[in-house]
Amino acid sequence: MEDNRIVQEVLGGNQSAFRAIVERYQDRVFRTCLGMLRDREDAEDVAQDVFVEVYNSLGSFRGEAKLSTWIYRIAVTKALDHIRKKNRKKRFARVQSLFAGDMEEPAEESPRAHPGLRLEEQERGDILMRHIDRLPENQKAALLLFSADGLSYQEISEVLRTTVPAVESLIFRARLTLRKRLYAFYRNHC
Amino acid sequence: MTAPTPFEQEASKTLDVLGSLGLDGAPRHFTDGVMHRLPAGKMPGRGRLSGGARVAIAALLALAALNAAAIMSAGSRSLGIAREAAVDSLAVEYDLTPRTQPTWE
Repeated sequence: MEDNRIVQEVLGGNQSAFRAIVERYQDRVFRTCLGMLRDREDAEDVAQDVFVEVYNSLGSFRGEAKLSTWIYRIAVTKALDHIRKKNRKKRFARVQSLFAGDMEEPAEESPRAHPGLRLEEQERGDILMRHIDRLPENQKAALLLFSADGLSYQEISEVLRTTVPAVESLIFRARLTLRKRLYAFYRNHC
Repeated sequence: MTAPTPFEQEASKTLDVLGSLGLDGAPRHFTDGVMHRLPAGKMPGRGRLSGGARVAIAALLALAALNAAAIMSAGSRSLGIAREAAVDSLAVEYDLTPRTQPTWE
């Protein structure tokens, strides 16, 4: 069944029709969240939040964009919100530990590679994801939507509400920064 | 053209891992989890307002209330002035001005 017909059914009061939307998009939403958050439990929680939000806001979906684009947009926003919230908590914990006279910096969360990576790639994945985490939010989102989710530049531009050249530039700059930082990393650690 | 240094090679190999990201799909029972979290018997709406939008609406409502209060106070003041003017003119017309001396003196 087409997305728009399912949406109309759900809006008409058939809540169980929403299951079809979840089943159709759950893998993509989960992958997006996993790519951004790198924690399976966090990704599952946030992905569920995404679908609850999609359901609650379905009345405002006008069908101007594709449903998938609209869902991706909500997923990226929620994942970024989650990262910001987590960073705020980390900063607060750091300040608290300083006030408590604990001069030692709280231990950095051990970097985890993307859980979807094969074992032999885990080490490189660790290093790569640690550097991706340090990219500006929009570069990180564009790079992961392109590399991990396989979205086209056109689709990414619709998700991030920007132009195709801007997406090209975001991904180009992200890769350039990563290459420079990885080069510096290996030069210092090899 | 110079050959890439070992560090550049390592950086390139690590960047290549980007192509292997995102192999996993949603866990089993994910759909059931979502369906359980949907508000029972509630129809989809137009979404909740963001925090910023709520603050903006609250500020607009407060401004509207202040404006209404200012208009009412100005209105009552001008009503008071009009009433005083009417009383004065009546007083002049019917000679109701308070006398400075009692009439029996």
